Amino acid sequence: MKKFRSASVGLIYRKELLDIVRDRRTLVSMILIPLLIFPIIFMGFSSLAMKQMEKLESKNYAVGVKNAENWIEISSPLKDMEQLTILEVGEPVDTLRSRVADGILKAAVIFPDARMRSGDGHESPEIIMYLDESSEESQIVARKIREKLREMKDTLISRSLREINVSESILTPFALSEENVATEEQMTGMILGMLLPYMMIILTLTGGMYPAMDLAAGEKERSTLETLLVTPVGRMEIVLGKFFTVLTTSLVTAMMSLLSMALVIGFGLTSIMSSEATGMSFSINPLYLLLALAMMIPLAALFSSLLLTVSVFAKSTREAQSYSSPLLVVTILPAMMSMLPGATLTSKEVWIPIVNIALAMKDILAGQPDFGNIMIVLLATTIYAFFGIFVTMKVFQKENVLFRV
Amino acid sequence: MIQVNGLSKEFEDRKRGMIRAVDNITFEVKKGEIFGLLGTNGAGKTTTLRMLASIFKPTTGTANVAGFDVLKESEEVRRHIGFLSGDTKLYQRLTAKEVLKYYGGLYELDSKTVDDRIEELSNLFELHDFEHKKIAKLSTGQRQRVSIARSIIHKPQLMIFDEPTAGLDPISARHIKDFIRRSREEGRTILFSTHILHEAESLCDRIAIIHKGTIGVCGDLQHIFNETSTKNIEEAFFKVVENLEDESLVRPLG
Repeated sequence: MKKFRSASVGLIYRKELLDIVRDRRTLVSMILIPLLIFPIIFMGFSSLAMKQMEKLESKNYAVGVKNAENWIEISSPLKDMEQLTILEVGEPVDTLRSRVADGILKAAVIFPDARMRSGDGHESPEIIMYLDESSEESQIVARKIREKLREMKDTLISRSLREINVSESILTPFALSEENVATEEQMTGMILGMLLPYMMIILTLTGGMYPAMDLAAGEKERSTLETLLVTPVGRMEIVLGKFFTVLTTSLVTAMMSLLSMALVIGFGLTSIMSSEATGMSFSINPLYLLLALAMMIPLAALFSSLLLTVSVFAKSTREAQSYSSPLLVVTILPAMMSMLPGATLTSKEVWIPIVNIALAMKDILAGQPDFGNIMIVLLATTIYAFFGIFVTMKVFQKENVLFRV
Repeated sequence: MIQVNGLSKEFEDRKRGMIRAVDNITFEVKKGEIFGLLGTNGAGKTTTLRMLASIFKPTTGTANVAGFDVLKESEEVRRHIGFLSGDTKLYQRLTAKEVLKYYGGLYELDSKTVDDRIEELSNLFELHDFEHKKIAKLSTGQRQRVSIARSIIHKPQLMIFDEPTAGLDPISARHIKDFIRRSREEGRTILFSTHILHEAESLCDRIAIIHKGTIGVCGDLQHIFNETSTKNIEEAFFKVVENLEDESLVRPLG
């Protein structure tokens, strides 16, 4: 049996890292993108969403009203509402309905014909509101009208009660007040737990993607592989040297994304999601964050071996790219498990690759880790990673794969 | 220096099924000589040399290279040969010196030895002017010189060249040929493949003409002329190729 030389692995590792770092494309995918992704997502997107919201809130909307004259006391407050232009129309109901459907009117309110009062032994008169739930503008308008009508309902009830000399308190036999007992850490964890595992899993994969392509398919493409193969270094050492390089870039990418997240939370996010706005501020137990990061190591190892295998198999970096894309698609779905509401890690999921990591990270960040299950997840992922490296080595032994041109 | 005994190599080809790229070849390269493997593209030259460099595993047969068995002692084989081909290019993003240092390390030379050797080779091939430039920035000729230096960083006694002059301009090709001659003068043994007839004729002590994975004739020029009853290398070559073509028609396939 051939002897194994860790010195050669180290030598290859250092050279590959130097080679990779000298490539601008790697630096972009390893450092720049993960650093910028969270600020862009959070600040860019949320400020954009807020601007859009403001715009919607400040526009003027046309609302059709029919038979308003029969219900002055309810309909006239509608006319005083800001942003709504109330048009009294005499057209048939069906026409109004289609006007709303066409978006000419954002909503239409149809009061009943005859003047009927509730409490007279008759049924309550029915007011119909047409709205288009597929339109955000219609939804906003409908919400405003709904609130106004509820307000009017309360006023009418109060008045009726006063007329028969009954105290208004009869309407509220008891009061309910709620208090959130979750600590800030738990609230932060819940939000982070949804998003962070997904983002980090994807970035761990994409971080290793380019270097893996470059180190195997790239060597074939540039005819440098044979130069390496004619040296006494064993194939196993070559694979390990390259594997550790991909692993490093993958983990650096994950770390960068974490750092970016921390920066966003530290500076940017507080301005948008300040305590006043959401009733919370952000903080997290650093020990748990560290544990979450530790989960990424075996996962990154698994990804690195898969990416390298795919890359060794490809004839060119272009081909490696098209082989790697399905890997990304396959990863996205299980990674999204962390975003499913109510999903936590149970003994059922501990052996499912990627899903187990996503859920374990979510639980850790939410501050509710089940250490027994998490150990199994780490073990399972480590086993998969070892299997992955084994496959990479097998593929790297195959002449028809290495010299496929 | 090299004993090849009944060496064969089969490949699985998705379209054509099993292909016998090298078919039961036997020859010997003596210490201190320049031995040429002459054949057309696809004759089996590269496959043969890769098996001798222990990059490919032979399907059947054995070969002893520089005193080591290509199958059982592949690592020692690689440690004792210098290998240069059109497919042994250098890392573009490293400097000339970094490349030489890296390969010195891969041959497990200690860093003092590597530094001395780089100095020696830099003087020999005049690399000093561009040793800190990245390979990507070098001219073809400069790259060629670094490549040659790379192939002998570990002072191999046996050199294997696979079509070393293919695709090179006349000046770069001349560098390689000079280097081959100088290698012999310094006592090294050289095995090289080519499809250029006059190159084989002018450089080699002995030649093997290979076609369709089979060696048709092997020996010095005079022996080849006698065997083929011809007077020059071109005639000899085509005669051997024709003979082998006829044989392959008669021989049952598979």
